[in-house]
Amino acid sequence: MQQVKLDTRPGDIVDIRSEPVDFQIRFPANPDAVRGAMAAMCRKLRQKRICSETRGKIELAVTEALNNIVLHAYRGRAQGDIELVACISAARLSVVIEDQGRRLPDILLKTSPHIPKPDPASLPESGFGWPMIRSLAHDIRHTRQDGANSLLLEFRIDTGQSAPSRRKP
Amino acid sequence: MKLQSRYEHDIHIITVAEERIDASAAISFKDAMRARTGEGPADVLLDLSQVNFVDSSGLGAIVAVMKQLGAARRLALAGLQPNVARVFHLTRMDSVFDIHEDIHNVIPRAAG
Repeated sequence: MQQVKLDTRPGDIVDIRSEPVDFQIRFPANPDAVRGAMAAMCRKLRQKRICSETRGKIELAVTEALNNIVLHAYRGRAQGDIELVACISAARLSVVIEDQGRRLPDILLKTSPHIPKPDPASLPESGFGWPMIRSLAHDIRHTRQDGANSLLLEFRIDTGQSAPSRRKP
Repeated sequence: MKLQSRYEHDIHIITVAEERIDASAAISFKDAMRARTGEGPADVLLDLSQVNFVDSSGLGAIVAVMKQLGAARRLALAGLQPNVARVFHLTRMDSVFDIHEDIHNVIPRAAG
């Protein structure tokens, strides 16, 4: 199920900048700025004719990754920036998110996408983000280098411009 | 956070007049809901038909509101758009909440 298309080795910072960049934004790590960045990215996805359902999935997964950086990577720090770069091709969207906060724990990358049925007697109010990212993104990779996290999320997309013989998995 | 309340058939219907319940709105949503549901009917119906995005923070806030209502009262949801329904489905919170397609499935339309 892992579909590695980018030429990266473990330990390398994920670099998609050899590909044409469709969208790039740098913003401060706070919830309002995350909302603004996501609105701008979603406008770009719409311009690229990505269907509403796929846009919704991408918006959710990327928002969760950004929320996680705001809440955890930069927790307790007065400020920090996030950089988001997106490359769109006919079949996939690659999003790279970089921050200079705390290391993203490896265990999160292995979170099960399957959330157990919640117990009505003790409902959780958090912890939903990474399981959702895991179920929505087709490929996820993380590298840590020089005090920076680089997280790659890949999504399958259909821009409505692909060949008519497109097969479903 | 803009909320609109009305009462029909002894149900407190709260319409969220916002497009998003995300990390930037979750706390104000929770506070506004707490203020509106401090007392009143046992049944609260949250109309989410105008909301097109809920993230994990928004979901956590909705769960918190339900817990705040306590065991004697109920929070039902209605009008989930596909993007919002997806969050409840992925987290299996759709097994916990009473979710209606439309508020009119719960509240009969007034004649005339």
